[in-house]
Amino acid sequence: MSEVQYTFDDVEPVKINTEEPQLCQILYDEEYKTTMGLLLALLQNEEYSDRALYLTQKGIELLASHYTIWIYRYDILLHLNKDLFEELDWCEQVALENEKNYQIWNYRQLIIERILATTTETSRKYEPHREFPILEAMLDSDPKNHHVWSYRKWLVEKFQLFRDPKELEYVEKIILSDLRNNSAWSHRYFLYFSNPELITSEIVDSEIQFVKALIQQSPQNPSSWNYLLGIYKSQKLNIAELESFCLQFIVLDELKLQDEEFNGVKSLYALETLAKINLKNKKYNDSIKIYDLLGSQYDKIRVNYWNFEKKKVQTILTSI
Amino acid sequence: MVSHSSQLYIEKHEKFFHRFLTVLPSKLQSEDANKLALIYFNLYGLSIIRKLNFSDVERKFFVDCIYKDYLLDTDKFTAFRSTANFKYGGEKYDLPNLSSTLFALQILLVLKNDYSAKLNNHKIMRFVKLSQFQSGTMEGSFAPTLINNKSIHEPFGESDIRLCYIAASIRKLVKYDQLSEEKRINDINVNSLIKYVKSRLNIDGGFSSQIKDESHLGYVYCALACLKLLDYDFTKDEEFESVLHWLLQRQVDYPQPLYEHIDYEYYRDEDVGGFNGRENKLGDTCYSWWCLGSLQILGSEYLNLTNLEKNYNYLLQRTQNGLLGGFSKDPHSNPDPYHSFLALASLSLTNEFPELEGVDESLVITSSSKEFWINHISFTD
Repeated sequence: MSEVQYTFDDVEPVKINTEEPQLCQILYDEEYKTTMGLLLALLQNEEYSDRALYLTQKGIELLASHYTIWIYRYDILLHLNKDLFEELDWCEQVALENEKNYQIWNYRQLIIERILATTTETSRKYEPHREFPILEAMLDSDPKNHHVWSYRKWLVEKFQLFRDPKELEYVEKIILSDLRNNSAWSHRYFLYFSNPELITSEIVDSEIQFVKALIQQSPQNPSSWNYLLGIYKSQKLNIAELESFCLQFIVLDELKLQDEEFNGVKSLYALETLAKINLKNKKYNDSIKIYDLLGSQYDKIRVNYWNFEKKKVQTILTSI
Repeated sequence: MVSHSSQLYIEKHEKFFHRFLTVLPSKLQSEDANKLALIYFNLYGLSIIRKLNFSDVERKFFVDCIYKDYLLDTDKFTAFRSTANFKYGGEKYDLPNLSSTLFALQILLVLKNDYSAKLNNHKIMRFVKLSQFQSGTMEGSFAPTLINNKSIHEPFGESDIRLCYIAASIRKLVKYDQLSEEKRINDINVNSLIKYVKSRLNIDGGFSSQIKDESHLGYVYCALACLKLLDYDFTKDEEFESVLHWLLQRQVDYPQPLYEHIDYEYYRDEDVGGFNGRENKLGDTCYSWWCLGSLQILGSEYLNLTNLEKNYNYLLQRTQNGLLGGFSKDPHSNPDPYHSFLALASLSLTNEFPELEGVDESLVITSSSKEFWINHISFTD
């Protein structure tokens, strides 16, 4: 990235131990030995210089998982009074070049926190929307990148972007481009439902309508069902209200539920929810029947779990 | 007993772990800061398959390696560093690391080294305590390392449940919980730790790194194991029924006719029987451990709620490598020590494979190491 050539002729690099036998001995290549040897020599002298900054970049490329190099880089920036906005640009390049480098996101937080803590004039220059293009680029290449989504949540929380139109628009776009992107659903839940002061009955209603429509498009999708059931649970709504909704996806002779168009189950989640609704409505035998169907026919891999749930209902039934 | 049609290639695995214990190619130099983890996976991999047969001389060499290269003993605290080379980083930049400290203690245990004769438990706990965040949004949690500003040490780096689990494990391994309260002069704040972990429980029954982040099986395991190590009683808390539900949804299956019209890159038939880490994600060998270990923590009776036979087949037939030994992340990857160790740990949880040693579900050490820990680790005041 940097075009300037630095000279290290005056530095005696630390010799990386390669002679003595050790456990899990890595056969470092020459580049690694040279970079780390120089870096260690500068660390020992606590040298805070442009060439040291340059060397930390090389060190991070080779050994991103080692916190010390990040700490050293940060110390150099502060000692040299570097422009922290330029450092944010640097972070973006590093992130794009190595998607697996997740330390970069924590480091970026550190830089932003520092910017915000400096003079009001500098901190006022920082605008959280500047993060959106880099986050979009990262999520374009891996839409389920956990670290990037976590960072995005940090940003939302830090700058109170829960109802930011651009943020809401973005997460909607991602969900609509892949209804099964669980990270995106979880982010939407975070935006609408993590801050109790911002939850209104209008939002609850419109989110229920939104997710129901998308469940209809793909009924066998845990992400959208978790979103719907999460709203019901957190808002303490009665899941019995979902009975007719669930029945759209279930047509079973065994349950005397019949329809002209199809016979079968389009969604395990609808079926399980129906079992819970029946339990709530004290229709214990119907609940038991559904757990039997789940275990014997529709979700056989979990038969022991469905029997376990069934027994809980049977225990209630025998106790009344 | 459940039936499974494949075998474990014990001898191949033995060779595999030995290979990774000696010399590693330069492409693994990016793992230099995780070397203690690598050593841990290989030694415990050998221990699970009952092939840790080193001579006293070899054992002593290994133990010396750990103390000489990784022990960081200052006036203030005792810890381990993450890479041997950085012992030349000078006073300010030779820094302790929380996960390395746990891996080092576990390694010493499997080598039957009495670290209580060499290390001071209060000084280790002083390090752990310094790593705990005392206020702010991360209160109760831990940082991976410390910064040293004119000999004032402060937590540095991201906090998450993983580090909470690691801190609770170190506290257990130095037997700090066995001391009376007045003797625990450097104890961490256990209440704020439990509060931090529990606040990461999501509405769907999973745990996440930050509040209301996406639930992730790795974090679920760390949360449960951390709480267990702090003697948390799961039975008194109804919320853990939702955790059980979430865990059981992790075993992958795409039954017909429900999935016949669904074409999704994350749904692969070859993953069936294995486990995934999040909803709508690919299966991965390591999640067999993170899920079954989590269930074991909640109660061994819950293991059978999964389909163990299909998990055995997934691991033995699809991710076990019959040529090189070891297990890979998925059927298309090369085997590595991490997935190999966790696959074997997962298989050791039931009595199905008597050739394997058992593994403690929270400390993730083999039975023989745990016995050594119980009987030989004893810190004097």
